[in-house]
Amino acid sequence: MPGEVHILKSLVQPREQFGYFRRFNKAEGFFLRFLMICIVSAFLTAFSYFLSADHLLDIPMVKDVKLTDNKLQASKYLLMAAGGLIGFITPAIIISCMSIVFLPFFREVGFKKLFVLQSIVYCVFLMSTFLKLPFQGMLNTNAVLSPLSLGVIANYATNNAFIISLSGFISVFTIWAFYLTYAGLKQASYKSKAYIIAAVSLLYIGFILLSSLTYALQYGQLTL
Amino acid sequence: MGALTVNKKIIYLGIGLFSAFLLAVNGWIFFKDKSAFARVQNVHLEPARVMDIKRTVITQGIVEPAENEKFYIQDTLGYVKEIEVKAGDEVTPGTVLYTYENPKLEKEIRSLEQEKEENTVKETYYKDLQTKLQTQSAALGTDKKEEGKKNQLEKEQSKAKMESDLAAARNSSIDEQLTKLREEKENLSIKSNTQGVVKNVNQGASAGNTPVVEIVSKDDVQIKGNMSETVSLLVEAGEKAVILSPVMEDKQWRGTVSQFQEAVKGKEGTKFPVIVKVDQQNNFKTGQHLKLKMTPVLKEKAVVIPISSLLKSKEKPFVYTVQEGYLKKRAVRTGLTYGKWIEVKGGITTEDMVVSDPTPYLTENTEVNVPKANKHKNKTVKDSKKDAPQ
Repeated sequence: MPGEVHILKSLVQPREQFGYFRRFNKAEGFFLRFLMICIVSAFLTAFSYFLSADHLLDIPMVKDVKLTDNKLQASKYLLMAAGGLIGFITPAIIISCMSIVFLPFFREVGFKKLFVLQSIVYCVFLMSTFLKLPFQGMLNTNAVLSPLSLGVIANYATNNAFIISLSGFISVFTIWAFYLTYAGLKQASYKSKAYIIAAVSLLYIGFILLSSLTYALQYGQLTL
Repeated sequence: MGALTVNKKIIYLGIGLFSAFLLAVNGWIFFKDKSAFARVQNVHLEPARVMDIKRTVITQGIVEPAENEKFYIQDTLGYVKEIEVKAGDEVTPGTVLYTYENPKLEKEIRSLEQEKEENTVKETYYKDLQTKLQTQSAALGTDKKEEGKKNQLEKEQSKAKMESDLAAARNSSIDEQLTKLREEKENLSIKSNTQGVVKNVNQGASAGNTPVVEIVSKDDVQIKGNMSETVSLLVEAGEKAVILSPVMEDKQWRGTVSQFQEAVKGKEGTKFPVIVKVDQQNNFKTGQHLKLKMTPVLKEKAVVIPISSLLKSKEKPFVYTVQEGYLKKRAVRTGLTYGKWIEVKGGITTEDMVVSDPTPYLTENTEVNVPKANKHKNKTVKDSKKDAPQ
């Protein structure tokens, strides 16, 4: 029996909206809503690439090629198109990966329901991306920290890549995403509350720590 | 149901407050330093510096009197007749320490003096004879018979004069020889050249390593250290030295390398004794063990960068510089190391700044951020002593 997925309602009233996870096996109209997520993601990414095009085309390698103004302008639109394409594909990949990671812990929920849940969680991250856009425009770079995270404070106070990355993850959106995941799984799974909190915490904290370590490693502040 | 609504309100209020806090603080930061929002790596730059590259040399030293005069047996002068001083006596330059007896020299002097006396007698005799012959010649008449006699007297007179002159010349030569021999005799008295104290007197010393008399300076001391062959090549006379005591770790004295002594071969290889004069007031006692620390300059005004800024690619050293916010790779030729610095012979100049803390994970053309405080640093620091090993 199918149930209806309401993305916006699920974002603000997860307890009420995720109730259908228990009652229904199919999510009606999900494909269209997922497509919408992909399209929004494509627009946001394309716009993000466009805003940081000047910066992306300012790297020494591009400078060495000595493009004409027209070619540079064309490159900007090419970057925007590429951004759109990347933004369109990214949700499918990320949401699938997130669902696969959660699957071993919540086998009884199944991949499909996890995919639906993670799609809604992904919307939170899209909002985070949207909020970063003005800063990308002002700073001419696509690598900016969320204004609703502790990352900016950390970046201002220290040069430690690990701390900056870790603080960057501590944002209103991460807390929101965590809560959505927990609320959705609480409705979809028959596992205990403690198990769900432990599993979600493990995966979120594990991901944050791993990403921060990789970030620190990437910038040479940790050596293997 | 009511409790659930209250809980929800608390959560929303908490999230709202957290968001407001973040927006306020991040907004303040944004107006102070926009770059804090950019997620790029911070790198620190360090200017290439000019400094003298030195090498620290530490060697053990022992305090010894600044002046040490030793007098050994000289067989050519004879045998020691009398030692005029004893251990502990204070001496000044000119004090007679001991005298030699040289019978051969005495005999020679006596023989010459006797010869001189004989010659003086001879000279007086011939001079008298000359006067006598002259008187006789003057008394003779002018006839032919007396003329012949007169001639005979004149011949004898000439002969007497010649003998007298010869005796005088001989005496003059003997005088010269006697002066020389008397000087030699005078030198049989061995005198001190320095002011100090008699350290040792060896009555029965024979020709060899044992001195008859040893004099050391009373107050002035110096430090004698040993150096390996390699180190001795770096240090020169005139080099400043720091004298350290293993007992008084917080105290140090200044000194100057005054001379190198002849190399000494030992079990641990050849050692090069070095003498360090103490430039400061001190109360060192002969025999005390001290440390001598010297920092000879290996290279003057070398261009150096921190060793930490150096990376290697296929054994070839390189550094990163930052050009318009991007990393640039620069191959360099390195030289001597000095503490945390390394000499750069080519590849960069004192006008350049290098990334001080790069890692192998950095790649060329990576975008980096140089923190403001670092950007405003002076580009060159001449002859910096900061961080240089002391």
